[in-house]
Amino acid sequence: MSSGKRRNPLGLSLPPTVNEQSECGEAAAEEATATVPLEEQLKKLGLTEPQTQRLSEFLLAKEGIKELSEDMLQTEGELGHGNGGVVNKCVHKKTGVIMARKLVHLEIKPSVRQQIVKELAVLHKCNSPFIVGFYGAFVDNNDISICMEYMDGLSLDIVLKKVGRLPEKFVGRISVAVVRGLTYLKDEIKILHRDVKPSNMLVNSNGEIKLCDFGVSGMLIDSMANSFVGTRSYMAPERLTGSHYTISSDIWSFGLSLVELLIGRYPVPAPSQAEYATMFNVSENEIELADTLEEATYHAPSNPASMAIFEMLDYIVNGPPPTLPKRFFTDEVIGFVSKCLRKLPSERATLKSLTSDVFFTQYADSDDQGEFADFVKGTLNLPKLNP
Amino acid sequence: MSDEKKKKRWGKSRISDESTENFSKIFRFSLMSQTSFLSWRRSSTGGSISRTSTSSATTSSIFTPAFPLNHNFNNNKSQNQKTSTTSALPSGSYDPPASAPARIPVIHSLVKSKSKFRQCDVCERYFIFDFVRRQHSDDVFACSVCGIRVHKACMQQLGDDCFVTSEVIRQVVEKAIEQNNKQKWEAVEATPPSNRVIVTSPTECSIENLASLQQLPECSEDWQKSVHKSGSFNNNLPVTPRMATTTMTATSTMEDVRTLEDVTYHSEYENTSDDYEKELMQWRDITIQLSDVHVKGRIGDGRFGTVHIAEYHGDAAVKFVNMNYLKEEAERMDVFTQEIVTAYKNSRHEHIALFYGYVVDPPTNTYAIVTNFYQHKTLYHRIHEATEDYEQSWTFQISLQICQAMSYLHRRKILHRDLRSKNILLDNPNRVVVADFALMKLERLAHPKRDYTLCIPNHWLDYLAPEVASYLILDSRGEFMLQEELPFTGDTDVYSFGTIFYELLLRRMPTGCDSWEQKLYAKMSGQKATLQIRFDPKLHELLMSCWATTAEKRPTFAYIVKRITSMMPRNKESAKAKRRSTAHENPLF
Repeated sequence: MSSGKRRNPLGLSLPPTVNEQSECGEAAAEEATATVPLEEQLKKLGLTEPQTQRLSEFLLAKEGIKELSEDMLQTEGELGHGNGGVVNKCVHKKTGVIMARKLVHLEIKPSVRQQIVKELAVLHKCNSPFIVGFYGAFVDNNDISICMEYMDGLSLDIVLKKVGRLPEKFVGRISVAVVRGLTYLKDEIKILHRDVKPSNMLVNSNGEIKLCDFGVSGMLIDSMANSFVGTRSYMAPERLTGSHYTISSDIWSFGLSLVELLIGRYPVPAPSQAEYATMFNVSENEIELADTLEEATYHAPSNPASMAIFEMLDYIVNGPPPTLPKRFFTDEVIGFVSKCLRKLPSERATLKSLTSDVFFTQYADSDDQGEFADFVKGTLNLPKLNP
Repeated sequence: MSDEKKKKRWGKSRISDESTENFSKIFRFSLMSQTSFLSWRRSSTGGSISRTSTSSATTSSIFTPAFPLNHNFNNNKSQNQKTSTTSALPSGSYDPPASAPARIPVIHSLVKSKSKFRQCDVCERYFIFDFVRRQHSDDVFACSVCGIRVHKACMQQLGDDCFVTSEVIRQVVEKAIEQNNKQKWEAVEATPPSNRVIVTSPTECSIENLASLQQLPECSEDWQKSVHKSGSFNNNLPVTPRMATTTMTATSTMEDVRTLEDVTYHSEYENTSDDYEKELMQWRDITIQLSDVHVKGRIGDGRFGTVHIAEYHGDAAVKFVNMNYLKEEAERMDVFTQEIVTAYKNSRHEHIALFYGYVVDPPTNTYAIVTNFYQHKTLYHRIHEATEDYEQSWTFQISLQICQAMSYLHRRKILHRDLRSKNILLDNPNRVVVADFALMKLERLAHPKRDYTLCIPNHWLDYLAPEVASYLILDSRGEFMLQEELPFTGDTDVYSFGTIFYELLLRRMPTGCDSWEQKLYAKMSGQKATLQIRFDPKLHELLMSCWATTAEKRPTFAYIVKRITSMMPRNKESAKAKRRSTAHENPLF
C-alpha cells in the first residue's frame, strides 16, 4: 500500500506506482476518465442491471452529501480497527445516509493533511461494484476521517470468525469479485491494491463483495502517528526479500486469503495432516495434502503454537507455499489457488489468466439466486466463534 | 525496627534517680494492686530483630490459668528498678539465657491481610515493593491479635511471640496506674520520660521476664495448650483470635482485653510510623497535586500518553501516562509509582530530563510525570524535519551527551527500553536530554487490543534489537503472546543508540517506508544499513558494534563515551568557541 510519491531516503529504487503497464496495453488511454460522463463509464464496465442500479443509487446519495465535516456526522458505534485507525459507523445527519468512517491519527503539519485529502480524492473516481464507495475525507484536528460506504456484513475476517470457514461456492463468488475489483483498480485507476487480505474484503446483505483500503496515498501512510506489527502477513515472498512490487504480489496475497477463507485458519505455517483431520473431523490418513512443486526440504519450526513472527515470515520466504488438501475441495479450486501461490512471481498467474480459469468462469457466468446474500444476512447476528 | 534504633529511643527516656524512685513507688503500688506483666525476647538467631512482647492481665485470681506469672511480681519489680538506672544484669535467682531460645510459644493467629503500606516485621521490607515487583509476591499475613505483619515466606522466621510490644506494656501499665492511682500519676506526669522507665532497655527487661517465665514451666503449660488450640497458621480453619480463648478462661477480663487490643493496634502503628513516614516523605516530596498543575495546551502525542505544557511554578511539561492497560485501579497506581516514578525519582543527570514530580489522581484516572519543559522539540525533529544543516562535531557532541546519560542510567540499573530520537529532547541547540524512559512494556503496546496487530510507535522496529524482536511470539490462537515481557537489557539500549547514531550521521532512518514485514525480515536475516564511503571507518566500526547481532558483542555506553571522545576533534579553539556559544545561549552562565 504505497505510492511512488514518498520520500525515499535509503535511495532504494522502488518501482513506479504502477508497474504493470507492460501487462496491460491501455496505460495512457485512461487519462480522460474523469471527463467521461458517468453513464458511459458504467456502461463500459459491462455491469449487470442490479449492479448498475445500486451504483447509481449510491452516486445519487453521494450527490446529496457533497462536503463532509465532523459536525455533520453522528457516530453510532465501532465497527473495527483498520490499518491505522478505528472504523466507526456513522450517520450523515442531514440525509440519514449510513457510512463507515475511518479515523486515522496523524502527526503532521496542517498543510500536509490537506495534501493527503487531495490525494484521497482519487477515490472519488472509483465507481465499481467491487470497490467500496467513497463519500469523502476531511481533516479534524490531528485526525483524518475517511468516509466510505457502509457494508453491513463487515469484513470477511469477521465473517470467518463467525462461521469458521466458508464453503467453496461462496469463495468462488468472492474470487470473482476480488479479481474484478483488482482488475478495475489496475486498469481504470492505475493503482495496485498492495494490501489484499480478508479484512479488506467487505460484504453486505445484498450479496456484494467489495475491496477497500487500497494504497492511494503514500503520504497518508508516511504520516500516520503509529505503525503496526501484525501477527499474520499476506505479503508475497519476493516482497519480503525486498523485490519490486508488482501485480503478482497482490495475486499472492489474494491466493493466501482464499486458502484462509476455505480452511478457516491463517495458512502459515501449513496445517499438518493432524490439524486437517480435526478441522474436517476425519481420520488422519484420509487427509491427502496436495503435491507441492517445491521439495519439502524446509523444516518447519517444531512448535507452531508459539511461533515467532520472524519464523512465520521466514516460512513464507523459505517454506513451501500453502496448499489445500485434496478430496475436501474440488480440483478446480485447488488448481486456482496453487496458480496464485507460486513462489516465483514469474510463474504466478496474472489477473488475465485467472479470469479464464475454470474455477473463475464457473462462478463468473452463473447467478447464485441470492444465495450469498442470504448467507451474509445469516451471519449478521451471529456471535464470533472462539477459535 | 532495629535494636539500635530502639535503644536510642529508649535511651532518651532514661530518667533521673529521683524520678525513678518516684515512679517505683507508684509502680509498686499499681503492681501490687492489679498488674503483672512480662516481656520476653524473641529468641531468633540474634541478628538485628529483637522484639519484645508483653502480656498483661488483670486480677490475678481470675487470671491464674492463663497467666500464672504474678508470683513473680516482686522479682519483676526489683529488676525494673534496676534496669532503669543501670545496664548491669539484675541479680536474680537465675542465669540469663544469653543465647538459649527459651520462650513460651505463643503462636500468632495469622490471617491474610491486604495491607501494603506497611513493612514486614521480620525482613523489614515494605510489602508494596513486593506487590509491584512480584519478586516474592507472597500474601501478607497479619496476626489478628498482635497485629504483626509478615510475608508468607518470613513466617518461619517469626517467633512464636504473639502479643503486645514493649510499647503496649507501657500503656497498659500507665492505664492501670492511672486508674488506680490517679493523683500520684498526675504528679509524675510532670516528668514525662518517666513513664517509659519500665522498658528502658527492652532487651534486658525481656531477658529477665523471660527467665521469670522459665522458672514456672508447669504453670505456663495450660496456657500454652489453650494457645495451641486456638492459634493456627492454617487459614482454612476458622481463625479464633486467641484472645477469645483467653477470655473464655477468664471471662471477666473481656473489657480489659478489648482495651488491650485497641492499644495493640495503636501502639503498633506508632512503632512503625516513624520509618514509614520517612519513606512516605520521600514520595511526598515529589508528589504534585493535580490542582497545582495548570495545563495550558497539548504539545505532543506518544504511544503511551500525551504531553502537555503546563504552568507549575513556571513552564513544565506534563506527560499524562495512559495506564488503561491495567484494569484494576489499585494496580495502575502501584505500577505507575513503582515502575515508572521510581525510575525518574532518582535520576539526576545533566542530560536527563529534569524530573519535578508526579501526579496521581485515581478518580480522574490521571497518572502524570512532570518534568522541565524543553522548548527545542525533539532530536527527531532536528534531524529529520528541520532544514538547517549541522556539523559533524555537533553530531559527536550530541551522541556523547546521550551516551553519558545512558551510561548513568545503566549504572543506576535503569533501562530506557525506548531510546528513540523522538524521546530525546533539545534543551538548547547544543544540549540534549534523554526522556521518556521506563515506559515501554509489551502489555502497554497491546492496549487497546486489536485483532492480529500490535500498534507500535513509528519507526520502533528500527530501534528494536533483534533479540527483542525475536520475542514477538504468536500463541496458539495466532495472537501476540503477551505473557512474557520483552527481554530488554542494557545491550538493547545500545542497539537503539546505534540507530540514533545512524540518524545523526545520515539524517535519515536506516529503513525507508518499508512495511513491518520487510523491516522485521531484514533485521532478523542480519541485513543492516551501512554508512557511505565518505565516513570515517572508525564511525562505521562503532555503528556496527552497536548494531551487533549478538548482544554480548555490543559495547557499553561507558565504552562508547570513550570512543567518541577519542574521535572528537581536539581543537582547543573550537572547544572555547563552543563554550562561548553555550554562554551566549544561557544567560546564567
